Amino acid sequence: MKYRKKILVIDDEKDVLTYLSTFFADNDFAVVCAENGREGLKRAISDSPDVITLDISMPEESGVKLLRELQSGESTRKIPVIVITGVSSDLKRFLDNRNQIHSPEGYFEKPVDRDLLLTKVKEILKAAKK
Amino acid sequence: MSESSTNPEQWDDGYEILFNSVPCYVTVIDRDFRIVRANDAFHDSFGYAPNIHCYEVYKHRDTKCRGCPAEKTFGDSKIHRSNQVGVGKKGQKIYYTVRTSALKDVRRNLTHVIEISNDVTPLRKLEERVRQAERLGAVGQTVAGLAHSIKNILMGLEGGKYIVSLGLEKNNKEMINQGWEMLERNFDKTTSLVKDFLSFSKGRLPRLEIVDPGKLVMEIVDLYKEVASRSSIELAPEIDDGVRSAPLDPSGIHTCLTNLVSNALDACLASDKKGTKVTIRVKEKKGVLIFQVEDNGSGIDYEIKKKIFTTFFTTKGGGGTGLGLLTTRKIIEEHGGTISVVSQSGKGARFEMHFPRKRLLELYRQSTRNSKGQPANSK
Ligand SMILES: Nc1ncnc2c1ncn2[C@@H]1O[C@H](COP(=O)(O)OP(=O)(O)O)[C@@H](O)[C@H]1O
Ligand SMILES: [Mg+2]
Repeated sequence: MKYRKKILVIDDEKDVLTYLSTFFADNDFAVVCAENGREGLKRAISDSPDVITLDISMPEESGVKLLRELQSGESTRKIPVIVITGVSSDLKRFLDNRNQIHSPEGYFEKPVDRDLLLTKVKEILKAAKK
Repeated sequence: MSESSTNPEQWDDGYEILFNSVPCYVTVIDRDFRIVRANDAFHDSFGYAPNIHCYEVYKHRDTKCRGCPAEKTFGDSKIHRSNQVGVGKKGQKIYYTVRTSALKDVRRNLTHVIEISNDVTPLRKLEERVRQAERLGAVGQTVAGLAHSIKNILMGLEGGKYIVSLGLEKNNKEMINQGWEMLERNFDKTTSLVKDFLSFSKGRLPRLEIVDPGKLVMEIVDLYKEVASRSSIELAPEIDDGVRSAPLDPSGIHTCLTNLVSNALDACLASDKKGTKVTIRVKEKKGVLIFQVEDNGSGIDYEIKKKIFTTFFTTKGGGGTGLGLLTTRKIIEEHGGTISVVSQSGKGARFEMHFPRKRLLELYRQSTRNSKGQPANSK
């Protein structure tokens, strides 16, 4: 049996969570969901996913903090993160200019084009395999 | 002091110069409220005034002003002050603070009152500008928040569409249902977002009609009783006997009560307590009409309470718009009323709307005056 890649989807918007998890499951991923930052961090540690999508809705602490924690955590810092946001391009500039934070591997704005997102995820996984 | 110098109608030149040079409005009135003296500053702003009733000149009205400070001074010889809005000689509004003090003759009879007023119009204009700037700021914030909500809704709709078509493809009924529910939910969200946003940005004057507050409450109960009982929440109206009809904007108050009751139901659902209850009360207290919406649901944390009236603040994630309380407050303030909340985390919350009857009546008179000759509903 073929090894399925595992993706962790973190989003506090229930419908977005359902949407993305259904989509990734249909594309042959093993999907783990988390509805908030705290749970997201727990799952990132316990389930060791191959890739994470993280919703940062507002440029406020919670989402940004989680990104920082993921990037600095012993067991999580190698996991690539794709940020999905409901706020405008300001967030990308904000993330790129924060020195405690590395720019995320991917960056998407809602509403997300799912095919582009899938392409990005595959690209990241391919790069990680090397 | 000679008698002639204390009689304001016979001041000599020295007094005259002083009188005319002070940088505020000064008028002297007799017991008949007729102006016997007015200084240059007064003439410049209000026009020529000898022997005319002060209220005619200051305000272009033909009866004494209510709460007239000069009248009080004639009564008790003390100094009184009040804030007033007058009409200048070019028809412009003049905001002024007036102080009145007694002017006695040599036999210590109180024959005249002197009115000294400071023009605070520039200050008022500045205040108005600050308020306007704040409002504009709120609009900017609103648009940003709106964009955020819309993006999430779009994604919910997109997701619903995707899951429905995937379900059709796989002939999976459960999936079709799930996707359909997502579509419905996000469609409803659009409706409520647009409705909330429109009523928030309208900024219109309330359309006051004489209505029975108890009836408004019963309408809300009818609207929500089914939803409430489905979730085993008791919904109870309490209408005090003494509550009389009042000039209110029925659709505005309907919106307020809807917002408060739906929040209360949400709070009951959020708590895992048994025997949750929402009470909608209307009562009368010292000339104030009071609506209360009380629940014994989840309550509000202190930190959260500070933010509940701000734009787009919600603890309900995608389920809320964060506009309900803001809109509610706006409608209440347009009625000259206030809203307050008492709550303890875990114990429930009580929201109160207060409408002073006096203010409602004033607004009602204004609105009927403005719409004279027009049907009440035309703009
Ligand atoms: N009765 C209540 N009990 C507990 N919390 C409440 C209550 N009413 C309002 N709130 C809090 O105030 C917030 C803002 O309310 P509102 O402006 O109506 O927006 P929304 O209902 O869309 O979240 C809610 O998200 C909730 O946290
Ligand atoms: Mg609400």
